[in-house]
Amino acid sequence: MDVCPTGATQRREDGIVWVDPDKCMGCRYCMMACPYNSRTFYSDEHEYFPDQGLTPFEEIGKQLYPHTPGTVEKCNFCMERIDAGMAKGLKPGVDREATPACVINCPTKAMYFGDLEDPGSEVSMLIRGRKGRQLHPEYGTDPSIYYLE
Amino acid sequence: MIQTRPFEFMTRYTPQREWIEGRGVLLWLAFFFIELGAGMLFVAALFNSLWGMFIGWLICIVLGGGFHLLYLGQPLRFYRAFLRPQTSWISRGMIFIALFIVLGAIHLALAYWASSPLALLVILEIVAFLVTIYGGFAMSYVNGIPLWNTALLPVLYVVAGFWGGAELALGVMLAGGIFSQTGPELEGLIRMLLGAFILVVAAYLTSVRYSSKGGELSVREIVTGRWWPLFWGVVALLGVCFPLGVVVSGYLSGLEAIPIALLWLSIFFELLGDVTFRYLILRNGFYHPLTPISTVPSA
Repeated sequence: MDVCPTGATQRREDGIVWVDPDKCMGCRYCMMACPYNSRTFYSDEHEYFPDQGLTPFEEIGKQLYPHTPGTVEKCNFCMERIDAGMAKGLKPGVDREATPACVINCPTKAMYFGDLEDPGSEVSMLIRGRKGRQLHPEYGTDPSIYYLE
Repeated sequence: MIQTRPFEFMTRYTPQREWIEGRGVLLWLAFFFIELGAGMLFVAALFNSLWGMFIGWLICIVLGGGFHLLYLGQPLRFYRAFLRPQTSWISRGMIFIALFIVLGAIHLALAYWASSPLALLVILEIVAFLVTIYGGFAMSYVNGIPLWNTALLPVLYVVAGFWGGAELALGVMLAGGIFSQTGPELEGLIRMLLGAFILVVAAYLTSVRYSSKGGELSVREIVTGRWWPLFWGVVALLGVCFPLGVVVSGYLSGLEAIPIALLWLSIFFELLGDVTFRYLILRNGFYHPLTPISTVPSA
């Protein structure tokens, strides 16, 4: 986040780091600085199946989540979905409608989402109980993603 | 070496691509010309060569700045890069470049039409130095890539920028027919910079080689791996040995004895070696695997 020269990369109060596509100038310094390679440069608009038009999923996706060519993107934990769910009084990580789509759709239930600040949350207990660890803690990035044993 | 299937993501040493492939090539050229131009202005100012300063200034803003802008995904938003100098080296670099452009224009105009104050020249020299060094700091801040994450990288880029700038300034003197006046002093500076470049490159590669497995892989790829022809053929032989031969023969038999064509070739090969070495540094930046290294079968 520190390396971003434009302030496009921001951290929300709930800890989610996201890239504002209206501020990013596409220098890709954040991609270099990310030791996890978790960022992507969205170069231009293209179809998943070349010359066959957009699929219905792509059409809906472009309406709901318009991408800005020439900017960097990263996973933002479906923050629009989380915000919409919380506006209804739902709790992220507990209620489906306030939880990232990958977590609720994972067929093997391999992912969990929740509040790391709350010691009683499911994710906090899992990290304690199953020796959750961060990747490359030596870089000092203190990622919020933990891997369980 | 390179991810081929989704489940292999970052399971091995992964090369960075964004700053060298596709439009990333433009950034490689941008860093080269920015530092070359600033280095040339710095050296030309020491020898009171107004044309040398002007050409260095032009190289920096037209080629360096131009390639920088062309590289950006959203070039019209470049002004936003000035907003975060407190944390971002790119932001600091943009400010240095902007200062360099403005102060350089004022100094050159004053020096050409009237006289420029010495204080302005001193400030311009400091800014030129900062322009030369910022790219190295920007890259050395990337702690995921061992080849870049070393304090020697900014030093290397400064020495390379000044050496290239000095060679180009020598070319301006040759073209302007004023070589006999200040050429010998400039040749002395080139001798020192050439020696410094050899030492810094050797120290850089050696320190990175023993810093980590990722560093070892990068250096191996450059020196004995896939890129060895470029390193030994272009960087070492043409870029260093050829200018070294010219410098030594000039030292032993006098500069006047060296054919002008050889001096021009020496300038060309030095620049070629410099830009090639920068390419190798960008091309061979590897990230550590995300999985524990002990589980990786081979680099």
